[in-house]
Amino acid sequence: MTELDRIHIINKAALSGTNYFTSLLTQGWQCALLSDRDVEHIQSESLMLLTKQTEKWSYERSSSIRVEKAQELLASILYTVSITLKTYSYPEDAVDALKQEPLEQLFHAGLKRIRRKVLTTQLIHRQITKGLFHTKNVFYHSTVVDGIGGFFKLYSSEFSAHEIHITADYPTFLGVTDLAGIEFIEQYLRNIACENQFLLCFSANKVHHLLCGIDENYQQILMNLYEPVLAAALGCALTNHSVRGLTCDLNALKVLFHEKKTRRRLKHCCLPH
Amino acid sequence: MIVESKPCDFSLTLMGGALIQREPVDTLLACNEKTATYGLALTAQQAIALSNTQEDTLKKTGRIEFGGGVTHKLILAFCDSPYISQINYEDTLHELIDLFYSFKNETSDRVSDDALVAYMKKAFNERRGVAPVEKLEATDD
Repeated sequence: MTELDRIHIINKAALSGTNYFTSLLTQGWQCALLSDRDVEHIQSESLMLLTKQTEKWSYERSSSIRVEKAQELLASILYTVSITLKTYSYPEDAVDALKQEPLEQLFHAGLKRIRRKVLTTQLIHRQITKGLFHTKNVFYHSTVVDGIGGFFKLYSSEFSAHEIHITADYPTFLGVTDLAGIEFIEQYLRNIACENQFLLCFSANKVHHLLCGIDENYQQILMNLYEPVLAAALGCALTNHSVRGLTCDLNALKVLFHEKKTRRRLKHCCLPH
Repeated sequence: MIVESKPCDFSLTLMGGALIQREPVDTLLACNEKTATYGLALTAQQAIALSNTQEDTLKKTGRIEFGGGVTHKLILAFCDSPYISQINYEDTLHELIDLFYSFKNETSDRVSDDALVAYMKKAFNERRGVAPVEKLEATDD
């Protein structure tokens, strides 16, 4: 007997990372996995949850709040529920959870996960800052140490879980897209951790000289440091020079890339199989 | 096949109608039991008008009411003021409702409902029945 693949109705690629809840609900409805009544019930549950969160936010001292604040609290609720929904392997299972489980239960499960993520991300941050690559580029330190540190001071997992609060100026080699709140910071720091670990393989002085060769004012430029160091290291490896030296023979590299067999091999590596 | 795109919208613009809780008229009329001691009473028509004022003021000030309303608190707080009589009772309450929600915005929700009502009453009596339209000074909260 063969195993049949499960039929997936929902297009996972069309789901939004930043607005997972709403996009899942919309797709679920469009695919007839959710009825109008289901959607109305979920909306009603979210309003009840919003009332509870509003009371909590105002310490039960106010019976009214500004519309903008209510919207912010609602966005936080939906983001938190999304965290739980994303744990399901298949979006169809997440839709089933929305139908069958009370929204408040999904919210509290999401809140628990967010609090855990905050703790683990703080640990990652602490590790990175302990061994941060030393560079004269002002944005590297200010973003990774001060900027991210500022995020943890401002972040409220209960009332503004979807917010990032900071601008994360320093650009990582692989950008972080379609994520919000603690998920964004978590992925951003994972990227920084990898890049930082790579940079630590080289002397700060040699990296400084390499970057000065690109732009003598690199200290004040918003640029990714990992990419040029990686490119130089690869160039050294290809031309049989010391990788840690970061000084490769450019002429030898040009000759190498002009060779047909090199271009064929690179093309073969780049094209999907 | 064209699938109609239902908004599945969770913006408060679409759902907010369900949130704006009007203060029940019965709650306001129930206050007559206490205010009668001071010669004050609301008719059903007046209570409806006050409930409408609450709704209009919430829209005007960009606020949403979750707890029913604050009009009954204003009634019970101000009913013993020497500067309120049956003649100016309803008009004064309309003005106080308007002021209350404006003050909530001006204080960025940092002052509790009860503290704000207490301040408004104190200021009202000190001004001999003139509602405090000036911006709040430092409040005790």
